[in-house]
Amino acid sequence: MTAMVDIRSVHKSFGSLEVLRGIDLEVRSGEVAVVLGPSGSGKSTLLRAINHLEKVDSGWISVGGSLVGYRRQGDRLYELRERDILKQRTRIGFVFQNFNLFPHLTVLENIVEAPVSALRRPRKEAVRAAETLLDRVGLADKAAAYPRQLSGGQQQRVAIARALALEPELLLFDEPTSALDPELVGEVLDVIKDLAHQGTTMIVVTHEIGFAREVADTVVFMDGGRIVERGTPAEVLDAPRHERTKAFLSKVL
Amino acid sequence: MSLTSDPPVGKAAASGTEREDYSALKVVPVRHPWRWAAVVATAVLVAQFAHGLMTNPGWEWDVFADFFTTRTILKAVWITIQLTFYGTALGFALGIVLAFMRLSQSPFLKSVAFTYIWAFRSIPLIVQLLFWFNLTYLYKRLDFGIPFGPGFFSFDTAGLVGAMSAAVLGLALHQAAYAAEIVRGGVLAVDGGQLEAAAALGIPGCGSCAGSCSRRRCARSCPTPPTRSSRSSRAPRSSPSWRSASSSTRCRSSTAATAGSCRC
Repeated sequence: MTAMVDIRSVHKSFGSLEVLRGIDLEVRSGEVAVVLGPSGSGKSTLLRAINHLEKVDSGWISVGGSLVGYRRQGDRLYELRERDILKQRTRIGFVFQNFNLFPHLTVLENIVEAPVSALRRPRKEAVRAAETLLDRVGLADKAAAYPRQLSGGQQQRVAIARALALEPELLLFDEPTSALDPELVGEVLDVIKDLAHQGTTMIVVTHEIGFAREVADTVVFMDGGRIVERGTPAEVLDAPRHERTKAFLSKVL
Repeated sequence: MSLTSDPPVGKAAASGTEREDYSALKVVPVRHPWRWAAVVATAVLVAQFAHGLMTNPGWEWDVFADFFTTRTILKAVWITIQLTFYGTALGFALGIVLAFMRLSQSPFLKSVAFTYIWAFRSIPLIVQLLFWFNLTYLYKRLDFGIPFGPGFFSFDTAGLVGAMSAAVLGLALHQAAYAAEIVRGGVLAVDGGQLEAAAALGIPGCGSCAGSCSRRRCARSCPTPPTRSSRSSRAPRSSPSWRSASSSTRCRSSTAATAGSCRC
């Protein structure tokens, strides 16, 4: 299997605060990587850097074999223009913690918007695809509803369908269940599990240890801007080698 | 001291032993006497004004009625409508440019736009209009050519800037400053998460003025233009914001943005 995501010695600072201190990570095609770690460990920043919502200070990230945010010419890297970065992002789906649905569009329009305006798909075709996706996340009857009429769990499922509408080769989830009440977490995780079983490559930042154990191929534990430990769920969750991982898991398990 | 530290023995005992039944009692909503006082005072003032309009002979309503439909007045009404239209259209066109200058990353463009908006909002409109009307004294000729270099065409400003065009120019430049703030307000009102979502989905034109974001921006900036001239094209402010937003999604973003008046 080839590396779908290749992250090499990535550094990122916000002012004097160093959020990422040399991250190296490889995610193979079809792999599900779950990133765990305390708040402020740089998980979200790393995820946002993968689709260039956050520019890295040094190091590089490639997705599907092409560099994110830069173009190589000779021995120089030229930063891409916004238009080209947007084109790259259509291959990477992103699901936000706070859903970020467009509140002025219906559920169906939310899903149709990107394929039509970013990929120039015909509207009819996009609507048909959107209906299939809504069916897949169990919300076929909510197509005409506005986001504010839905529960948090339903909104997040719409957000997942919206990300899937671009048929991305990689899906990024930034704490997809952290803004949900405990009863609604399950329905969102079920959708993500479903995708995982179908072989979608994804990186999931979460605090749901049970989910990590069940779905992840690789568990990555981050702290203080570094990857402390990575391995299979059995290795990292059941037999952590580092003190920091043990301390963290003892609190969340 | 003893009041606060002593436990309310009697009360606690009473509520502990038998529960009172409140179901038969009448519920009295909270009264707002000051609200009523304000209503009465305002009503008296409005009534006094209306009474004065009707009874004071100084208004000379018969003279008003006589002159209302004279040629001069009707002509003036038509000129006002024209000035409104040209001033608003040109003002919003320039205002959109100014708004995006002020939102740009360049400190130079930002400060130029800021200074323009600051100056044209601060100087009273009547002073600006007088100034533009007397432009011809200041610049006798207009040359088009290389800046600071030779000119290719030249115009006599006395022939070019008449009363009408001076008025349109003055109104448009003034309106541009206000329009810039309206557009900028609309752009800034869009939640950062939505912009990020649009960026993550690769929806184009979030930095410029197209696509889902600008429709949202356009919708955001629409309900509140404090323009004195374009009141007719607006929906009442009381209409729920989501409704105006969703209806304006049908307006084609770029044209609506340049015209500065999408239907909402």
